[in-house]
Amino acid sequence: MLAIAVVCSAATGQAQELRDTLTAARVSADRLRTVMRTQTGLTRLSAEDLNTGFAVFSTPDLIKTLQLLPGVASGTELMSGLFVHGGTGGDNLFLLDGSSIYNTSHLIGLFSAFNADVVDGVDFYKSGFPARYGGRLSSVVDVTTRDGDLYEYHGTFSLGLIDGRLQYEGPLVRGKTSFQFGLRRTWMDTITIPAIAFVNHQNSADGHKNSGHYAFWDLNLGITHHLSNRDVLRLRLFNGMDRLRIGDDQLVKDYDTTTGAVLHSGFDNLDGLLAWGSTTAGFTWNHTFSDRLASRVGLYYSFNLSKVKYVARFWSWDEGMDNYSCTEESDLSGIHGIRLGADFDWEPFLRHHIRFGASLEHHIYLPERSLHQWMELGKTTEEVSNWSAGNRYRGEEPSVYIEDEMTLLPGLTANVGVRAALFLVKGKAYALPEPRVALRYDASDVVTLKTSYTLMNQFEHRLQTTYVDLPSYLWLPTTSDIRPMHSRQAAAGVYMRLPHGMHLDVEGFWKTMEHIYEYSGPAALYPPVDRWESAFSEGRGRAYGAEVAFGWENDKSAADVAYTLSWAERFFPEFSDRWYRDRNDNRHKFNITATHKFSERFEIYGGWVYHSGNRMTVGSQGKYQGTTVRSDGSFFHYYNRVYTGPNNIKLPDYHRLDLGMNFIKQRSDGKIRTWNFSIYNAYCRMNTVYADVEIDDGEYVGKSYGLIPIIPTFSYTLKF
Amino acid sequence: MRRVLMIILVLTAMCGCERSFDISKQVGDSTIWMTFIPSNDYDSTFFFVQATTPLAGKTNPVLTNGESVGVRVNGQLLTLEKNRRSFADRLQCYTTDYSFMPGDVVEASATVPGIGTVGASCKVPEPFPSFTWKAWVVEKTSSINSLFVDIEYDDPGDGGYYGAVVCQYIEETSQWEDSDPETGEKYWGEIKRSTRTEYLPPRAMTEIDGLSAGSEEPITAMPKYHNYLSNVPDSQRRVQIWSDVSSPSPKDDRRHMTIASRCNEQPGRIDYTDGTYHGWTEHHYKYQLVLYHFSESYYNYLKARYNSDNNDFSALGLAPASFVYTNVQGGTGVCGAYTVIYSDWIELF
Repeated sequence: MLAIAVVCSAATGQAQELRDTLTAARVSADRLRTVMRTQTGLTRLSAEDLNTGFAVFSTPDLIKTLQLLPGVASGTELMSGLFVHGGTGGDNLFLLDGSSIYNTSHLIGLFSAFNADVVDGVDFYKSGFPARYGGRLSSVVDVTTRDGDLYEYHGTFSLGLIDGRLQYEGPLVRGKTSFQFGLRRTWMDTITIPAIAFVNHQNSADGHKNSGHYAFWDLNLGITHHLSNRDVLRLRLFNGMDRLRIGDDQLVKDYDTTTGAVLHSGFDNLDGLLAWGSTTAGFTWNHTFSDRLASRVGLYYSFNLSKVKYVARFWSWDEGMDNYSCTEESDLSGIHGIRLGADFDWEPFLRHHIRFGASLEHHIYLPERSLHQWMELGKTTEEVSNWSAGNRYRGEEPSVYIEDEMTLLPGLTANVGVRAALFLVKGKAYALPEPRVALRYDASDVVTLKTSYTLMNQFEHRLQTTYVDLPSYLWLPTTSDIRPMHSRQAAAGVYMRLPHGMHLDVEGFWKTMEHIYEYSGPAALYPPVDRWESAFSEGRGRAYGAEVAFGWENDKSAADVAYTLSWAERFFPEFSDRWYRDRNDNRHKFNITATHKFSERFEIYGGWVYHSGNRMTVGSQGKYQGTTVRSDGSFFHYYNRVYTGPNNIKLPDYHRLDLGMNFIKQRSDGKIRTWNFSIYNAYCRMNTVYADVEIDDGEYVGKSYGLIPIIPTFSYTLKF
Repeated sequence: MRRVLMIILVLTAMCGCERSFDISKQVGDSTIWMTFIPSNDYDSTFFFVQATTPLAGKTNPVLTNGESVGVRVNGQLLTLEKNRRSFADRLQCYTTDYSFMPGDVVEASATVPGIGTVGASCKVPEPFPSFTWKAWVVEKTSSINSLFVDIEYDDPGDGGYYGAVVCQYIEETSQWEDSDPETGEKYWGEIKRSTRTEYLPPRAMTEIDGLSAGSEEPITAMPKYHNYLSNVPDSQRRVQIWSDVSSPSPKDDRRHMTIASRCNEQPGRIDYTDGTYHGWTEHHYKYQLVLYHFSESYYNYLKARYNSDNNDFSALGLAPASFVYTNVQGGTGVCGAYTVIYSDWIELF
């Protein structure tokens, strides 16, 4: 029945069945469709879902919304981590209108790169991946942006505490061609510049001066042209960028401890730049051949960049001679991807809905690094170091897929498919088939059972040396030495549609991962470029657990409760000869969110998030070395730390309460203005960002460091 | 580059706060730390056992009595001498009547009353594969001899875990003509002495605690497949270790080292005269290549210890904890083995 409805939609020329996202559908309708789909692990978010949930800094955010879902760990607070079913964080496929996005965060992870104003809908898979998706192990986030309105001009303007947004759409040729653009930019640089100037003024006496400038922006542009009632052309452009510049100047003086005379004096200067972002372009042609066959052919391009550069200079004046030393370092990771893809949607018989397609993607990976150090001693210049390293990798990724959504028996549906992927890099070829199977059985009008088995491969690796959400990572391909990552996942669930607008879903999953990589070298902010394969260790992972989601909804109110009980483990022989817990092994995760609309003019939101603490590695045992006697006569025993295993300590549990309210007013001219007031972390729980075990007054205690306090924000939105 | 990150952390931490949390329920009970590193390097091999103390709250050391250890080589029980309750309540045993050979399968276990029994095993690796080496003088100053060393070896299997260090030996011969102050009789005096530049053996990493990064670190862990080893000054004091397991095909079994060895005197003969007093001094510098073959467990342990000293991000939980390794079942520490061979001395000056 669903398939017929979809094909009927195709007959209108929209070919909507190729896009899994409905346009601004109600949550309940989305949920119904989610349950009716054969796949497990699918969550469908509409634009309305994104815009009605809580928004950090009053800016709706896709990844923050996904982080609330069961089975998803968020990693470090406020960052855009997305660790799905024990995943690594670099194993999520982000598609924006078909183009891959690698850099998905703004403001060191505070926001994601997806502007909710232009988003039409999101399909999020954490298991049961259909055969048309591939290339990542853990999740698929398929974001589609809206077509512009073919008949009316309208838009949205929003000003929040740290950013402003503008979205506008309308016809270029009435009834034929439409456009939409969305622009978002932070204006926090206008706040931070005077704030830093004030701090520098306070510190001017000691010659210490900081500087900082941060800005992010993203721009979405979409043009849709209806050639006929069977042909639609779409052009989508996106550019998102972050730039952080920091500086540090200070006078340095060394004094003789006895005479107080200045022994050495100098001036220390640091200038650093971090920049990261993505640019994508996609051109698609949707064609409906008949009521039973439709196609989409597209050409997609994406460029992703992350760059870190700094210059450190030091001047000193000793014994009448001016000395100068300088270090310039630059790290860059760029990825170009161009993909040609064709997808077909065919319903040859009543009980079969076949999707098939092929794509050819060409990747170019450009990691580069350079270091130049020199000194000027008086009139002599001495070069300390001057080297650069860079690699250029080309990867070809042709793939084909076919999947058949078939009705086997009344109430029993299967989606059986296979994706065949080939990856060619530097004379090495990996050919890997990926079978996908999903079954759905409607046991009654109330109860639906589903199960799925998927096999996924990933040919690209996000390599990073730290967990900090900075652009200090490299995307590099599988090579002859670094094998493709590989996962298998089985999932099963029971989905119940209960009376009074309630539903209850229970899903379980088991997932294994092979050839995953972790950094295993000494401290570095940026992975090595010329010998990167040697700096990472290969290991395995596994995750399993159960997720329970309960929801209730009526005309005015909605509430969702989600609970996850899960395990995420790792096995890296170079770190330990046994399985150990993953850093994001959050045993329990519990979310409750509720919205209530008091009237057309006032609505409130509340959400409470809890999960077991993340884990870290601490030398939690000591080898006794000796005892000293303190001045007060007490004994102090000192030890050498012993690490009993990786990630052996659980950090304090994470929880916070978010509140929000919208004051909505429709003006006489038809425009709608909304004042949003939000409070992030309402009871100011200083959740842990990093931690250590320290000696405090002779006692060994865990010390957690929280950085994110209560954050009240507001925004003004005008729909015109 | 780390400074960039530290500035960001400091700026963000300015608006943050610290909070204590209870770790007493997570540090666990005392465990047993043991190390046993059999090799062909020494006549006797030490076996250290110590109970660890959970570090939570006011911590008194866990002291023990009545520990027992056992070592089996190829299934045969070895005799161990328990010589003393050593420094810091550590039981120190040593083997007396057995020289470990390549291919020996070693099983070590330790029991501490009230805590339990732990065990681990390893296999003494074959000697470093057949090799050739060459050395050139690339720079010679009054205080530094810089050598370029080229090692080419024939790794027979799927690769191994290796280490190398160049040892410098200085022979000094001085002769001078002098006269007896009482009789005025002239005679020739002579002094011969030799100095060997010492390096810390890798097992220092296992047996000595508290070694910090820097000149006293016994090893430098090199990246896998990286053919160029360290060129750090003073690197002659460190054994540079590397793995070529799973290395790219075709494997390149060559390693190149640049060694900067300190020298106090110019090589060769220096004549001097001061009126009636005259003589000469001659310095000869000889070099020897010392090559290690480690078991996988010992290599992993050494590399983890090296990373432990050199990754402060991991210590804050901001980076993967690559500095943890143990193969002791039920406890911590390591049972790992190595085999060392020495090349002939070569004279370059």
